[in-house]
Amino acid sequence: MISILIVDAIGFLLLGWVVNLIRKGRVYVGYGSALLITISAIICVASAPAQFVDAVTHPIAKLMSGSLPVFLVIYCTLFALIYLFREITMISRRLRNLTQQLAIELARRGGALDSGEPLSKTQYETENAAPLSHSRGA
Amino acid sequence: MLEPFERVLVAIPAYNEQATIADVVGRVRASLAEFDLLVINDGSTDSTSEILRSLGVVVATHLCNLGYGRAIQTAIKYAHQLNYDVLITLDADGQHHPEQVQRLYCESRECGWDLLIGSRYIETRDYSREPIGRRMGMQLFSVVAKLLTGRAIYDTTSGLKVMRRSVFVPLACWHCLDFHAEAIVYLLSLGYRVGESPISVAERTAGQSMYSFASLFQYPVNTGIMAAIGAVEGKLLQRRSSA
Repeated sequence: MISILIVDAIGFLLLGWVVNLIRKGRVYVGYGSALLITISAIICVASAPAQFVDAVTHPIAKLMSGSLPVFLVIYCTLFALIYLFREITMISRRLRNLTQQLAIELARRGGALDSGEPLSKTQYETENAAPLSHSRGA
Repeated sequence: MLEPFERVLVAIPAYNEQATIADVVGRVRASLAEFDLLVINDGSTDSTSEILRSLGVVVATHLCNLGYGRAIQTAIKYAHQLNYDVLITLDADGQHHPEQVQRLYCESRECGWDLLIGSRYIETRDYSREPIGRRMGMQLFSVVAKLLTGRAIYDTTSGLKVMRRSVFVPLACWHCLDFHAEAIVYLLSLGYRVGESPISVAERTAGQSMYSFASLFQYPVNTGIMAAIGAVEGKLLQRRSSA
């Protein structure tokens, strides 16, 4: 009984954490939804009566029902996954913001690169060198 | 008719729309000559780029494909940074009639809508023309919006929207997916005025829908989670600001 409570408590903590990360945009909702579904499933399996779980799937039930260490290992893996997804989301968010701001700056210039064409590497370096040197000079 | 001193931007997100983009830009220029036009080229790999270059239109180019939602977000950021008062978005696939935009713009100004959605279903409420998956999604999110905000929105996925400056910051800063149900729920929960006005749409003649088979499962889950979070966060923010 205590082990079920511990598993549920950790599960709800992780659920709250993931929801908060999605809310703040630190985990992309696509990753977040997968995590939420996984954590909810673990809570359901852990909380279900052992007889019911046994009846559904006997071999898995033997491993899962009331086995605190197994759940803790799963939660540790999930913790690592959440952290990983959080980092990936943050990097992709920065790249997205950069891409959007670059697109806006080019559109504001209204002509220089108003070609509607993604920049080649050389173009990108040339276009970005000028403002940098100007700001240093100023 | 354009309100004096009001700056209006029409934004068209485009990804691989070589078959229709020239026609859409031409129709927008013809019927909305007094509005500024911005095309967001979302990393197109076909000849959309060349066509846009030949048209001499202002283009915000994503160096890689970021998706529809991020293209709309770029348009909102652009409109905000360049101090536009109104942003109108419409699709590049030629389904929307630019001729109807003027009426929507006037209606949004006269009725004071912060966000006005060009709605395909508000009059008929007949979703039967849509494929089964999309039909179920639209009906589901209409119900979700009603449950979460108390307001029935019949077309949560319309790409034709008129946004006023008041919603630029909340929409650009929040983590909307495709600016569909989740954005509408968030704005309604924050206390903004969201309305719908009937429009007619043409059948898609070229290009591909942005929804794949996988999005049949991903879209409702992701949008549902964001709508629920948006409803709670919007209400909390509103309560905090009124306290």
